[in-house]
Amino acid sequence: MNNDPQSGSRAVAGSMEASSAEFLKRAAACPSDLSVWTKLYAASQTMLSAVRTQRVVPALTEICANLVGCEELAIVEIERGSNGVHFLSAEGLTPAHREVLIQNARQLESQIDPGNVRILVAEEGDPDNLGSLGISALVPLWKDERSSCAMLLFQLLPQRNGFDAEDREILQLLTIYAGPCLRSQKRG
Amino acid sequence: MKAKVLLVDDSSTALLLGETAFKRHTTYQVVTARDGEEGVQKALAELPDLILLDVVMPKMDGFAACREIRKHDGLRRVPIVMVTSRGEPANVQTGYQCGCNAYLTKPINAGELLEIVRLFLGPDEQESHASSPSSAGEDKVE
Repeated sequence: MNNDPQSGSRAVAGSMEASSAEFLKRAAACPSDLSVWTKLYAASQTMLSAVRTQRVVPALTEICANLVGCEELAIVEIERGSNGVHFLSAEGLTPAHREVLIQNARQLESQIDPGNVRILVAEEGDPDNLGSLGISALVPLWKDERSSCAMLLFQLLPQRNGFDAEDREILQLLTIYAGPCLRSQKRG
Repeated sequence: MKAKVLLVDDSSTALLLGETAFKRHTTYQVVTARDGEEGVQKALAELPDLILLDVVMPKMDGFAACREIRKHDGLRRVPIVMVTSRGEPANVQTGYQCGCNAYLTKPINAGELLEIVRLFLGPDEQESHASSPSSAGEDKVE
């Protein structure tokens, strides 16, 4: 396992640059001005810039606000064993919201499955009752022997009627890249 | 002659999204600004044909920037579209009171944006080519 944060960061950035170039190519070939490819390109460029400036958390907040329409989100890191919760971000969250997350840390931790974005809507079901915590989407960022980390999206802006396929693609991009970016920033 | 579009937003994601969308069309020239103050300066310097203006921004918010832009003779008739996550009726009303011509809520919807641009700038000559059957169906994630 490579523990050099600089090297890890470079590898993630390299992979993101390649994806970003592909998104731009597809966006150019697409008849729609604002296709999902354009959105993925914008999101990947924002993440690339965040890696360079070490501002990954604000970048995630910005992407979710501008591309998904969600301004209420938390990035939580849950320690293995103690279930202590660290809020790396808690945008638009009330103290009550935070308290609910702290109290349900164990349940949350068990639901963080790397690479598996969960959108909690009726048709996909919510057997773990995460919706009762006010969570509308869970984007895993990492899970290892020390901790688990995820981005939790709460209420969407009133003009949104729930998540669509493009939102899922954007969140899928974030689950792939945001975790490694955030970890390399923490280690660096 | 290219129609000039001024995008004013403190979000680099939003600016990039708009730039990428507009730059597909050779008939549009895009200019950007990162806050309301810079937006007013760029509007005065560039005399754009259309301004897309965010509301929540540092230094000067979009409402104040819109009012400021409207004070200048050369910019009184330039269409201003507020593009913001603040879609509450009170905010929409404030936007129109400040002199905006249209109000779009984020996240930007492709159809709405194109409709607004067509409304104020007229149809783009590339549109017929871009929407040809040969290029249809590619807007799909595999």
